[in-house]
Amino acid sequence: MIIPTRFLSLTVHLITTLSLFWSREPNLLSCIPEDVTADSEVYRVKDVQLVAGLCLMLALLLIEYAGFFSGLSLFNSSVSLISSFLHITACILLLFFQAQAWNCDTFWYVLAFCSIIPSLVEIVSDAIEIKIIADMYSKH
Amino acid sequence: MLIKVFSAPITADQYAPLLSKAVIVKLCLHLLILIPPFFIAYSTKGLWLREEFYQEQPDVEFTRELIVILHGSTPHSILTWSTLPSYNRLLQTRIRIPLFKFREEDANQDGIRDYIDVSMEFPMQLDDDVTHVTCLLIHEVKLSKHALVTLRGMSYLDYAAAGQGHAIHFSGEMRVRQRNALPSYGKLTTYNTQILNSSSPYASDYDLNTIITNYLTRNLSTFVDNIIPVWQYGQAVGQPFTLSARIYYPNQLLFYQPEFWQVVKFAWIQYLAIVILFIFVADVITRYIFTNFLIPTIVMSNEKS
Repeated sequence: MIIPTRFLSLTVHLITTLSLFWSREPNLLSCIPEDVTADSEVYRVKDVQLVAGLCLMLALLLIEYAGFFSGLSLFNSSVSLISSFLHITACILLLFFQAQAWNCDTFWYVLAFCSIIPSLVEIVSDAIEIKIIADMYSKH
Repeated sequence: MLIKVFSAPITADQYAPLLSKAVIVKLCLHLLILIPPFFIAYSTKGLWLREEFYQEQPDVEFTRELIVILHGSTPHSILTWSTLPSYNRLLQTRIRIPLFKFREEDANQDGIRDYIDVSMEFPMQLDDDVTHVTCLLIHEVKLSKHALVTLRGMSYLDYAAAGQGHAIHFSGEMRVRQRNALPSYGKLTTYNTQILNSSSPYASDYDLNTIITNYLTRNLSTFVDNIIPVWQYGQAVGQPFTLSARIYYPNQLLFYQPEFWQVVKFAWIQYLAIVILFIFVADVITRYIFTNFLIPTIVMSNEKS
């Protein structure tokens, strides 16, 4: 049951991240000064930053998918628990981010806590797993 | 055949050392129950009750202080009268003493006055004419449902007509104007001070401009709302000028600062309503994690041997 849960939580996070690419304008407008219009330099800089953040979030999700589908962390229930919990949280937060047009700077907190942390956990556990497998082969 | 006469569940208790994954997960789940509901309750607005509304009919009493000014068509044709002796002394040449009657009526007999009827008949001389009327009445207002509030309120009635008349009747409703919330307990007598300084010998103290400016610096005051003047044109020789008014003291919506326990009670109700959902969800998650042994624990049955 934890495996489908993890798959679904990764997928909902992926979908909300993708949908943010198409609706980032309200968030950008809420993090620039009121008198700045959508065609100004300030807006463009914020837009580039947010797109970069979203791309980073996608890349981190792909890393986790790789670890998940390759089976390296598929049966590690601690990693699965942390990953499921944080991705569901990310999905809820991003939905509110989108629906209530939160300030675009709050995106970085979501990225830090709900993408970077689980992918770091994922990378570490993958590395440990690879080392165990390598040790097994070297013994034979 | 056996009949089930009693049942008691046998629980399988799971234990884990103090510093273990299971304990950390348990702790995280507890924090998940306790913290997010607070943020949800707070971010959906209205967690802390800042003001509350209530209805009250103020207990109003006319303090028998008033100033009336009848303006004529030329700047110097002013007739005036007041119940303040020093004002009358200052304006001796312009004083015209009316036949003054007032009555405060408790129509529904609930112990609180419902309206005041005021009438004044000014005897008129041949060359007197009235085109503009200004009348100022002072009331004492008491509010008692929450804090005991006493204040002096002013009713300012003013009407300038296009031509001279022989009577005017004002109708209106007195309202309490609040700039801040009323306290929820205690006494508030800050605004129970004189609006008209009845003993002052200085003319400047009776300047309408000064009186009104000083009055409106108060955070709690009264005003006459929905005021409808009915002016009767024309003046017959030897007829008095009649000024009458009926001011209602209606029930009104006031706001007050709720006291500590009321604020806490409403916050608690909201928090608890959300926490219950989180307890349920966290219970499902906990059950799922520990019955599937996703985290290692030591299982011990509590069955008595």
